[in-house]
Amino acid sequence: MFSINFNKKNTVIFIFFKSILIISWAVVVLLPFIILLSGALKVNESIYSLPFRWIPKNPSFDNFIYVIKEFKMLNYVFNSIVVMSLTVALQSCVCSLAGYSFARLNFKGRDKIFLMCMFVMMIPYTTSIIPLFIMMNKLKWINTFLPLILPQGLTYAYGVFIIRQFCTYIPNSYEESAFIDGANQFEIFFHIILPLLKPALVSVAILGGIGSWNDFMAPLIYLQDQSKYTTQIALRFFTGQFTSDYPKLLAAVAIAVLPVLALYFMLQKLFISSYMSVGIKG
Amino acid sequence: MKNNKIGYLFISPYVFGILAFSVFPILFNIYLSLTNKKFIGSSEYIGLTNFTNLFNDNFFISSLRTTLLFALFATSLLTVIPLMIALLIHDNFPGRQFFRSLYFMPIIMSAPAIAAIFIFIYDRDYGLLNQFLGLLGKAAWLGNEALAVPSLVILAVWHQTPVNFVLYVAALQDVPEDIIEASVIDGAGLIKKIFYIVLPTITPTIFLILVTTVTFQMQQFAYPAILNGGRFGTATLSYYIYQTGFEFGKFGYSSAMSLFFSLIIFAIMLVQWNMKKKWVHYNS
Repeated sequence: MFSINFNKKNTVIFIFFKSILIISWAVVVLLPFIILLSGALKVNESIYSLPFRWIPKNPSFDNFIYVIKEFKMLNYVFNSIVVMSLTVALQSCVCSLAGYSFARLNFKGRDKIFLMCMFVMMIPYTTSIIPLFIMMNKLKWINTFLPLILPQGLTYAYGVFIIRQFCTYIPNSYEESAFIDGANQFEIFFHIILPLLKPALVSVAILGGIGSWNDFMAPLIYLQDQSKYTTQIALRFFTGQFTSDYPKLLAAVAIAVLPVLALYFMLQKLFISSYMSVGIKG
Repeated sequence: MKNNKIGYLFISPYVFGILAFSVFPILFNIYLSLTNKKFIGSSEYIGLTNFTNLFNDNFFISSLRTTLLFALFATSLLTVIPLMIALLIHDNFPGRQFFRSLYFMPIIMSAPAIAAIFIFIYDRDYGLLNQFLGLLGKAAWLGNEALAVPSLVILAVWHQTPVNFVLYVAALQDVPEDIIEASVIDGAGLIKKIFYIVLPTITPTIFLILVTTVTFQMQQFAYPAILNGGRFGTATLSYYIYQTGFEFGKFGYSSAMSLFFSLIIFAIMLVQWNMKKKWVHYNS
């Protein structure tokens, strides 16, 4: 590992300078989180004070209780969880089958098809929103969760990419010996490959899950009943509602952010390595 | 292995999905862009009228301008800043893991969530940014067209730095040790080390970051939607396309716009790929 330092005597000054920068960026990163917490806990006190009061006078969870009881925030969180779980489940199945096939099975046109799929995925999503809406309308799927789950679940290119990459590291010997033992391709896939894919599937689940949780455009377009809103759409709705009571909006944001944050604290390494794996070999 | 026709079966859900939800919509979009289809009512073929109307549409031009400026500045900063931070914490020091995990946090927040928080940060009279800059009562970040792009850029940089930061951290680990040591023996200082060895080695990563970051910023939709509903100059083209289709009901016109939008993005990508040979080195 090379070192970011000058070679000579200025090392101490340089280390001091570096430390200031490192801590400064840490502060910049933390600020919005602190504002979120501080504001959400403010009751009977204006968030609009000069200078900004970092520690609330009488911190209380009233805003959270209000947002949960009167504005049914947990309903929206539940909706998001449902959509996310179904999407991730579908993605895991489709991506593992496809990723393995593109990596290991030989069939005519395999690589061409793979390239075509990757190419198509690069086309901006905005081009599809209106046609998709018209299609979903014909299918009578408007105002259901189906348009949120099926397109993302069936066409998760990142997932296919990750699984395919991972499969190239599985030694051929596993499949070959099973083949010799008389197993057919189905059995090889389900009993040998799938268990081996677990680490990669975790990455796919994390990336796909977060993508689904954070999805904003699709729920915005398709969900019309307020009861069906997902967390992100609820936030947009609240942004219009709470213009005069900002702490309540922040309480809603805190609830929206909490599940992912909690998951992150528990699985840090997994999160970071999932994001990294998309960047392998450009 | 022999010819596994079963492969076709295994990839069929994925390929079906791509055909149904990506390929078909694009083709349908091309058809729609040549009509004047509205949300309610019949549609007639009007040829390229939608496209010619684009150039007389002031809001199209202004949202395109906002999008291009935003993409330009956000991408530049999002390419450079994460690299600087990755270099900053490259050395092993106690607490390095902690800071790495900390620096990853912003991207955990969804775009609507962080944009909601920034509504307050950007407040003209009480917001933290103005408190920090001493511009209270003066700089209306979300109420002034001149400040629209900066407000989007600041938000994007805070939110998305971790994505590229992580890629740079991984790339820096692959910088060959021996070349660095040889250069130190030759008396190379820090600047030389960075510019002549580190940067050339990580050019593939820089390229990947440039391409993905630009594409993502060009399509930015959630930030303007939450910050102030696309008013005062924050509307990106993505947002205007959405508005035209789903708020104004002009499906045909919106489709034409998004087609034109795709062409712009492709053009940018083409330029980037063509320039790739000139500066990206693999396995130097």
